[in-house]
Amino acid sequence: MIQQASDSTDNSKWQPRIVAFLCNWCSYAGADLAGMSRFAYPAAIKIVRLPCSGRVDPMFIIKSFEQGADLVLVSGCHPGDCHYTSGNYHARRKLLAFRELMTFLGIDPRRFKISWVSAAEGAKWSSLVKEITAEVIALGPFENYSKLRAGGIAE
Amino acid sequence: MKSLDKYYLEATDRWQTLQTSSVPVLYVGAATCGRAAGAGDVIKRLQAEIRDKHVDVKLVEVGCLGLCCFEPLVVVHKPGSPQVCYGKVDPDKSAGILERYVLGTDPCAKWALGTTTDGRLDGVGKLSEHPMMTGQVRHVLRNCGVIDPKDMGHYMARDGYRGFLRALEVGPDKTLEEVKKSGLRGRGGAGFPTWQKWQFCRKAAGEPKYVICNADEGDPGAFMDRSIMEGDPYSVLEGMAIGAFVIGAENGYIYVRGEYPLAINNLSIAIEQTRSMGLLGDDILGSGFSFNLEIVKGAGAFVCGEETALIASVQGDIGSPRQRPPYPAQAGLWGKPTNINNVETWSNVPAIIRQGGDQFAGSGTDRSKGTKVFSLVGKVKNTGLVEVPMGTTMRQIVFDIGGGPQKKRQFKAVQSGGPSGGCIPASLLDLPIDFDKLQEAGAMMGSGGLIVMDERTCMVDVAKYFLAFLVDESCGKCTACREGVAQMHNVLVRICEGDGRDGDIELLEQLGSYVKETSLCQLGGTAPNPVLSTIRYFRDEYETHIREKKCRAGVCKSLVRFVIDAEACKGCGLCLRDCPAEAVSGEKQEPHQINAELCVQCGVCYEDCPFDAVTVE
Amino acid sequence: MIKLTIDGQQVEVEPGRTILDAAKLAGREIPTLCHHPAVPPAGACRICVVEIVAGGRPGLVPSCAYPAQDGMEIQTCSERVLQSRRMTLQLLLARSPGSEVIQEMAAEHGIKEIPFPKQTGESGDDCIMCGLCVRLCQQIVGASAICFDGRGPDRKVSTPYADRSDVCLGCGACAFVCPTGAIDPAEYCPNPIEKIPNEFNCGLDSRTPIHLPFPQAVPNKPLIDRENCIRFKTGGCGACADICPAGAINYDMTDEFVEEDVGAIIVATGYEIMDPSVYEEYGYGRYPDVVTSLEFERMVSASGPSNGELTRLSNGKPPKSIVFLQCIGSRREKNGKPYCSKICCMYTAKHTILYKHKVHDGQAFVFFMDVRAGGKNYDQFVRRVVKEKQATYLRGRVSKVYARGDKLMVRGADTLSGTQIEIAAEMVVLAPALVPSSGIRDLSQKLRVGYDEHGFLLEAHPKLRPVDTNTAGVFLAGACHSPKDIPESVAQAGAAASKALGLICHTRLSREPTIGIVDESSCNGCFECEGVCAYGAIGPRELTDKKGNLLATVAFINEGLCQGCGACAATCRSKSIEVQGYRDDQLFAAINAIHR
Repeated sequence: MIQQASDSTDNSKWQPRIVAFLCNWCSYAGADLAGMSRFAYPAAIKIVRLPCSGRVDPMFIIKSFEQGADLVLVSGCHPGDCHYTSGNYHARRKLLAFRELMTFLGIDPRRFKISWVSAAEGAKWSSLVKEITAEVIALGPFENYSKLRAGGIAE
Repeated sequence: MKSLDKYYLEATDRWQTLQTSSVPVLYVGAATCGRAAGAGDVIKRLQAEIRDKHVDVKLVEVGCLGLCCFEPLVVVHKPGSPQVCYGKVDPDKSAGILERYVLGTDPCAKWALGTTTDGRLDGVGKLSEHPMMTGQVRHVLRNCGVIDPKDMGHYMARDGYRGFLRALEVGPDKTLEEVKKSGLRGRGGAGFPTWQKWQFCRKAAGEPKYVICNADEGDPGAFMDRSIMEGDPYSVLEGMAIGAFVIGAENGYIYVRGEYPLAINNLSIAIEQTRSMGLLGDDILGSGFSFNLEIVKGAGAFVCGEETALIASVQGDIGSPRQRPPYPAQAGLWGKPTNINNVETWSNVPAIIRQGGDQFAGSGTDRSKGTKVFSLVGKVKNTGLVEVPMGTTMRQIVFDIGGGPQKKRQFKAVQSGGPSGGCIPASLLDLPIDFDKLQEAGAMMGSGGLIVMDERTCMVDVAKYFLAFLVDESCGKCTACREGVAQMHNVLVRICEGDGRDGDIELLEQLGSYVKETSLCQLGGTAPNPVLSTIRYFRDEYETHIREKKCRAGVCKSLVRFVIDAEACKGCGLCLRDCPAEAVSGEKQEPHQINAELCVQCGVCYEDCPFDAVTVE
Repeated sequence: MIKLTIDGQQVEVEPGRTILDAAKLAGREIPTLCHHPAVPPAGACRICVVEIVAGGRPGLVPSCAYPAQDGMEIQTCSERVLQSRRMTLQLLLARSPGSEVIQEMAAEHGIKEIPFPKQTGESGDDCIMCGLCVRLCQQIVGASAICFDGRGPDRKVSTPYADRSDVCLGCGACAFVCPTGAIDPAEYCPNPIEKIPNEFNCGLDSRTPIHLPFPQAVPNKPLIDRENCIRFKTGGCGACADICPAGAINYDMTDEFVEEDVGAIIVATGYEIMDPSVYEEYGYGRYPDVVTSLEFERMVSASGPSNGELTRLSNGKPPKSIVFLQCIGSRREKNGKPYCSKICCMYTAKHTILYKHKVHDGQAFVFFMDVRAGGKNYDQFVRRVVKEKQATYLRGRVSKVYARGDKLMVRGADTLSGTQIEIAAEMVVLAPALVPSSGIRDLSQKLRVGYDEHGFLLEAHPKLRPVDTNTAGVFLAGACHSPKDIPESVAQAGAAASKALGLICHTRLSREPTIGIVDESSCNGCFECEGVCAYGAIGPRELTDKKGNLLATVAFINEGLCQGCGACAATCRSKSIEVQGYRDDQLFAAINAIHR
């Protein structure tokens, strides 16, 4: 852990880390399609598959930052297209409220992204990842929680 | 009832007073025929004279006596003298009569036609002995020209509404029984038994029921119905009320052609007065029977005399007939049972109920009872309305009453029944007239028009004339009538213009029988009658037109050449003076000649010549 | 029932029926003109006269308008009847010598000449004054827009006061019933006569408000188009109900929602073609002779608007030269569809053959990008077309179609010879891109099935599950999924059907194990979860002790209904709901693992 922390302070060696929560039916399938279609995109993104964007608990996002993520992405089906009828609407309402509270948590709200990617949008997924990777590189590493990590509180 | 009894008394009293008036009364025939002859001016002149002379003389406008050729007629009641009827009265004559007879002593016998009441007057015979009146039996016309048609009191005083009251008393069954006993048949033309017609409608399912008076008198030369409506409108209303009572109708319509404004006016007044007497309206005299009447003005389409077309017209639709059945008695006005009778039929009813059917059945023939009113017109001396018992011969009507053809010309035929009827030749003059006999002769009773024709009438032209009328009056709904009659007319025109071909007569017969049996209504069904009956009795005239290209009667211009018989011509110069083409030449007292190249065949010389020297080659 | 004899044959009819009805039952043909079963009879033309021999007033009567009566004895072709009929026809022929209907009828009755003058001039028209149109307009349509004017031979069909009146609906029913085709509603209607386009024939001809949707429709029964039906417009008419012998017409029927419980759904909504008028260079919509391939298909069809006769819409003559343009909107990144519509190459090749079949001496050209004839025997087919010179194939695109005289000039490039080409064509056929049926988006959202940017529905997996969708129980077949030709569509439909059967033939339904579970010990019964559940799977459950005393009311998840989305788990404040397979601890472990 300490090793990781010291690594992250070294800008020259720093590689951004993005945690993405994707719904199973649209965005995960879109990412799958991107792969199948051989659309390249940065490897900085790590995907956690959920049944629905509505399953996203804000605690997952905080946990990700605490664990060293520089940016968190939640992506689901387009409004109206949710496999579970309305899960993406619940997610949108909840997570937009959560973003308002992020400053209070000491996290730059720009480090949290919400997007809608359908199963047919492999190309969109690829360009979305490229875009947010560029953004997070511009923002630099997220270090506000590094002490937490160093203290091992989260574990 | 009490007020009605009182009214009867009062009316009778008023009528008696008028009959035995202590002041002179002048009755002027002011029906349409009288007015056309100048009765209006006579009335104005008399009013002015009476006013200017400050004399106490009463003036009463009455209907038509039927002596149309003598219009205007004035009947003078002078206290103490019999009533005198004067004919062909002009304003000057009327002033003369007022001055010399009413106020003086000279009965002006040369103008008088006869006396109408008992008593003798020097030099004046009885009107009933006038040739035109002998042989007539006046039932329907009994009030015409006698009463003031705008005064209900006159009608009531002469047993008006006694028939209706009797009907109310005995009930509809017995009333219908009287009509059946009378043997009355429809006077509109077809002669259907009236009681049977009533009974059909009476028994028909459906409420409300209607009665209609067919006063769409459209035959050229027929004016019986008009005279009745103008001279005695109450009899029509009473007849309808009786019929409605029998049938169970609460509403009636009188369908009058718009060309009869005076009839409409007199009927309207009569309806108003009858209603105010309580003899029309709801719950008449407390009997529970309600009857309302309305006048509908027709727009003058001949076809609207046909029952179904008439109904359509009353409903506001185009006056076109429809296929029967259903008959109006089943589904007529507004789809309800409807009984339609002609004016004269309705007018016959009150007397039948009042006097009993047997009395009515006492005159006439086996199957045609009562009297019939004819309008006698054409080339006959005495024209006018003639009422004779059924069974009277045509000769009696034409020669005895009508006085025979004018100018001693040869009688040729009588057209009976208007455009739907046929021509009766001289050989059938002794035919007793009734519905069935006329039908057998190829003519029909029709509404009662009789047009007399003489040697100078071309029968082909007559047929052409009637067909032209029917072409115009066909509603155009069915092919047979619209196209068939028009084509018959085309053929007749070509015959009259000298383009007739062999086979045209047969073609006319063929078309005629086709139109007769294929047409939708009786307009088409009878339209060929004038042609078929003239072919039947005057085939030689057609043949002369077609083969010899000649019109012996001198009517069909293309087929006529007028010449002057030099022996007969006295050189009077009348023809020379009147010829519009200046085709006649000749010195006075010398025989004249006609230049055939200039002659336009107008026939003026033919008509003019007092010596019958102008002849048709 | 009424019993009568017609030509010696006993017939029974219901009361109120006419002699004509009875004659039909007896199998006797009686000619008619002014009669129409839907219009009350008038007996105007008199062609249908028959003879009453006994049992009624003897004579000729119009059979169409005369009620059958008990005991009647009728002759339909006695000499008297035939004589009358012949005369009627002669008269009608004199009136309307030019009318083919009358000419034919007259010929059938052996009429060679007419013995009286023909009516010429104004009234010598095809109108035989039967009045059917007037009766129809007044009594059936209820508009009274036309009427008779004048009487006798001067009678004519006109409008009230000879004025065009707004009461005319422009329905054209008068022209429809006219026995001689003499009436043109445009003469009476103040508004342009709008015919109802026949949808099945791409609007190339018209139809009546009551119509069969297309030949061999299933069910093969007529339907009423309420928008145009006079009954629904004015409350009049009702003619179809009057004449339907089965009494099958019911105006009170309305569209209804039908609810069915089903175990599987197959979406097979097909395709439409895009409107090529967006590409102005091809002149579609501007020039009548530029048509789409679908319109061409109808024009050459034997059941099409011209009964299979191929004619130019501009002048009705057969096109002597024709140009087929492929890829109209397909394979077009800008302002079009990037995909290949797949079927156009093959049907265009077929169209060139059909064209040569109709116009033997015609010349056909095809502008193509690539001929994509992948499929069994497909390439051989196209090669045959080229080889047999059914059409000249030109590789290249067309830049412009414009009119010169009565020709259409087609300007394009032949990239194989590297030259500019201009062809004077008499007809141009466009092969527009295939697009999914309109309304596909609404349907897919209802079914929770994904779709791509063009609206084509998404399969669950492009290679492994091409017939399934991500929604269990919903399958795809045909062009709703992507442009497909017939064999492919049939194959996919078969696959979808067997998939659906595979699903519903089981007595038990298997489900995913990943569903929510409530921890009853920590649930405090706030029921926030109930509000977010899209399936109504969550309800209350009462916990009692052994004596039956209520201890608590907690959330309860119905395993059959729960789909495992996890919205409840994310909402639960006491963390009492977990989704199996996606439990919090599992997900936290996944998050932690990322950073290891």
